[in-house]
Amino acid sequence: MKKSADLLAKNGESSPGASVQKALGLKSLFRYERTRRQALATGFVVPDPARCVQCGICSYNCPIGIDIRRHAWLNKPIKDSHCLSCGECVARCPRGVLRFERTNLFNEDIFPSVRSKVNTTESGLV
Amino acid sequence: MRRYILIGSGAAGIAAAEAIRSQDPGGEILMVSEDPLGYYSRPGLAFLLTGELPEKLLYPFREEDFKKRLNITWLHARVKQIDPQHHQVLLENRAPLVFDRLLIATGASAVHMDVPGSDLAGVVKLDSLTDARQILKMASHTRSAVVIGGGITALELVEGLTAHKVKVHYFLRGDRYWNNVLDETEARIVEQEMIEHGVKIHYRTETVEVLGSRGRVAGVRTKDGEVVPCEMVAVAIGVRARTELAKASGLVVEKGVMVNEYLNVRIAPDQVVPDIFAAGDVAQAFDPLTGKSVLDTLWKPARDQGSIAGLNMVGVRSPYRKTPPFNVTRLAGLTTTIIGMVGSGRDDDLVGIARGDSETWRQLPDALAAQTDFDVNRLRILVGQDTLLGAIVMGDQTLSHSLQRLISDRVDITPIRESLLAPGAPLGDIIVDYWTQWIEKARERTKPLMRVQ
Repeated sequence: MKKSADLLAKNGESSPGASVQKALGLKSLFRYERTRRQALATGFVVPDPARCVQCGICSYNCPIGIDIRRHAWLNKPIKDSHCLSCGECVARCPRGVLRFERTNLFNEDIFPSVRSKVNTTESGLV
Repeated sequence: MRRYILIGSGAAGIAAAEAIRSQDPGGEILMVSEDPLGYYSRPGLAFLLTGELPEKLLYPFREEDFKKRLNITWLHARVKQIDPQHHQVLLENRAPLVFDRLLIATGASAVHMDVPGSDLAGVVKLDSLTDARQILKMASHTRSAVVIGGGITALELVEGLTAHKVKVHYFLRGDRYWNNVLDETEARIVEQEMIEHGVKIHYRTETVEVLGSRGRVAGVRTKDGEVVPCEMVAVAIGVRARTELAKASGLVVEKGVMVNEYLNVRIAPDQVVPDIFAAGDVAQAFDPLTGKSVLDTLWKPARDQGSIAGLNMVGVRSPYRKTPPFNVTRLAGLTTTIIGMVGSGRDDDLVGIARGDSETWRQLPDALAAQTDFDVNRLRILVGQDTLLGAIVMGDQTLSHSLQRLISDRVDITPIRESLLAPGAPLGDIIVDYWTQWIEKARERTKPLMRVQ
């Protein structure tokens, strides 16, 4: 969250409409959390084996003990039905091996309304 | 029944065993390793040092992987020599072994620092789990240490020792960290992080002597005559291919063991040995694109070469195709991807460098990145005449996958070249837009009926 705070400060300094932008910046703080939650809820973890050096941090940090490292070695997505998609492995991997991919079960954008709102807010910021 | 002997138990050796087993369920695979601890993740040693990982997690395979899945027989022994003519491997203190196919995957080891006192107790390196254990054991009663070297391993040592509350003096030969890969800003980001953790960086400092007292390290004397007292000296000044065995066996060796496109070793510059292969850090593989033989000291080429060698050992002829250099590492807590050429511009094709440290690519609508809590996000792209030559992505990795493909597939970027190099260009948007178009076209080309999502 430090990031967003920095961004806020930066915007406040550099532009005349500082207060407006500050408010938007504050919104973006929540937006980030929302996108993150959304990614977690609608995605599953996919490895990029070319990046993996089998250090085991992912497996070690999985709260339910899935051997994620093995999935990365074998280039298999973590579609284990027990996966909580909590994102611990993705966040902790020191080499960015793991990422969330949308399951896209319904072949559609699940949160189109949220998305369009988010994008307008963002364009006001940059 | 064929007997395959694999010398070395690193990434290349294991990948070879898997490839062999995938094609030959009945053959005998014998893995001869000097490391008593077998196959573990060497890159993971850095996280063992920082305490992020317990030792038992360093072992990616379980017992049954070796016994049942791969059916490998282990032998802890040192190979003295290979006799290519008689298909024999001569071992230290053991009877010779006969092989049908042999793989040399002895890897690389840390370069020894050649100064007086460098063999004192307390001078350490980070090569193996044994080294890491020794460092951890010493760290608890070490107040200060000197770390020497300018690359990734040196930084890992700095981080590992700092995590154990050891006061670290970090010696750099030049003006900044890793100056042949990182640009000034990138280097300063890493250095700043070290300084915040209490590391004292000594720029333009070279070690001329390790000072000892009663056989143990007591300090370091620099070229300028300064003496830095310490109880440990950790050295990471590069690695060298372990070619001693190949040399002793009469194989052709330059910086590494010379191999052809199929990873066969040579007994004379124009004579390959059909049954003996080399792969991984020890192998100097031929790159048909440049016509040169090159050494790689990275995990991915080691695994790729191991697999290719394994296939060739079984008899499935497969050439090794080198891919552009690609490495991911964590520098000062930032995931950093280094793709292709990024060093100090030796390439004549380089048109310009596009840099970005903006927030923009984090806001891309489809970026499902959960790894986003970095304080710094930086991007540097080396733009060539028609293609991207290299890139460094620090922090958020959303763009690194697309950049990797654009670079390794030598995608024509002339339509976006100008906009990339324009001052203040929104690099993230440009790359993602172009990448999306390209990948959709690529999908249409390969699978015309597939639905593009």
